[in-house]
Amino acid sequence: MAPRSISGKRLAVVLLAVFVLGSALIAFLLLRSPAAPTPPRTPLAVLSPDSTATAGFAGMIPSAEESALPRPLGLDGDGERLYVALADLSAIGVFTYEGVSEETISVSAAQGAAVSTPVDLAIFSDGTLGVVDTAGSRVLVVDPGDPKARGVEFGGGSGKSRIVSPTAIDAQDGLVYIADSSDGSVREYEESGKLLRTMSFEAPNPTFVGALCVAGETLWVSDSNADRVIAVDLATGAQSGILERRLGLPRGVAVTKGGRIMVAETFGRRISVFDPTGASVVDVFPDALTEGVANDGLLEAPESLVWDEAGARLYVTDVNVGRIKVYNYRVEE
Amino acid sequence: MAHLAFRRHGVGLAALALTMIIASAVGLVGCSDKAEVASDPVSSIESLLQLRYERSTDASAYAELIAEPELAIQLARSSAEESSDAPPTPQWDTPYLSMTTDTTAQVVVVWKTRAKFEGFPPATRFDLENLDGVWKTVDAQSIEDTENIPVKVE
Repeated sequence: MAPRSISGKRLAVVLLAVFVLGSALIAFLLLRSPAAPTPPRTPLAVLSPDSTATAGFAGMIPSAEESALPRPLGLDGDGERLYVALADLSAIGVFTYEGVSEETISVSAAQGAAVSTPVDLAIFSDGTLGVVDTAGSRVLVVDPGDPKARGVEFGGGSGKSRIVSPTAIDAQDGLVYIADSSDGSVREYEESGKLLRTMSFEAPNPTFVGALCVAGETLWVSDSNADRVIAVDLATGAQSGILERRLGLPRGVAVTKGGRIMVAETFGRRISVFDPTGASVVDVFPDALTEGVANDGLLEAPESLVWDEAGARLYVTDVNVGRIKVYNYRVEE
Repeated sequence: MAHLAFRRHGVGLAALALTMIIASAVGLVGCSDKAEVASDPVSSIESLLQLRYERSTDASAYAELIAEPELAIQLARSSAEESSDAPPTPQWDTPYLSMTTDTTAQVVVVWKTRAKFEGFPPATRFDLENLDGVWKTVDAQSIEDTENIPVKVE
């Protein structure tokens, strides 16, 4: 008996069945199999016990074995977790202080915008995050406890309270500080979004605030285009001083418990540490004397800072290399 | 012969199915990763023009596209000082490559509607270098009315 030939219709049905079954099999295998094993990350180093170095490179987050972060900019931490604004991923990355990735929180795009561009963030008193989204010209409140929820716009009022072109944010004790480049202002809000006051500067106002850092009774303002960092006295809301040194595009600021002021200089590719009065620089790193600097410890474009007093470590986003670089710093105050 | 034809069909079916499965797998895997941002001379210039047109005052944003940090700061300061009543540059035609090597490139921007921008040249040629995988502007030359505008290279 001659074998039967296959009709075109039957062939199409067979092809479709094979495709559907094959796709289902692949989907099943992809969903079933555990995520690709993460390469073991290099633990963060500590300063050698016999070292006299003031600063040492502890390592990077993600480590050299892991993929780089897509344009990490703003950084904040609550003592347990680090939150980093990933501008090119429209997301917030969450890490432990030892560098273990915990989750990635998407930041939804504003109405009419194709994407969001988170550039800075601050942790509010209830654990939510205030996120500066430059693509949406807004500040968004994102809840890490409910990462799938769309954020709520912060301070979306009118008149003087309206946020037009935010560039930086910080928060402390229920108060939120936001820099707006549309009028060179820095404003203080309640966490509810209610405007309390606008800080006053000796002219000229900053044209671009690269970072804000509130520490105790002082608000530090990175006046990036003017190569300076301004201190604002929170009791009066007025400028009270300037760090006594010209800086190479100052961005992130962090303050130690003893009052030392650390400034990230993006163009200077370094961290300058000032004494508590801001009158003199007591340390600069990374440099040749920085322990472990040969292991990718130099900075290319440092942006944002988080100082961990308990671990005596400084966390620095290095935008061009897509990492959070971590430095041990010996505080002798 | 007919039997052979059937077997051929069988081989063909298997090959086609395998191709489809691989294509599906590639598609699924492709969806799981965000594509990397492309860096090429023309898109670098387009980004630079857009920043300037929007009067960005962020020097670090300019610095991602310009090799000289001081120039990035100057552009940011200029944007802050200008009046916001009128755009800082005319509109432009789509930039194009007029010269390229592995490490250098020239991109031409032809300006449109220059009537309101006194002294603006008909076109500008931007010289770029590939610095660590990123195309950055290292120089710019005005092309005046008396000069020929470089042509596009394919």
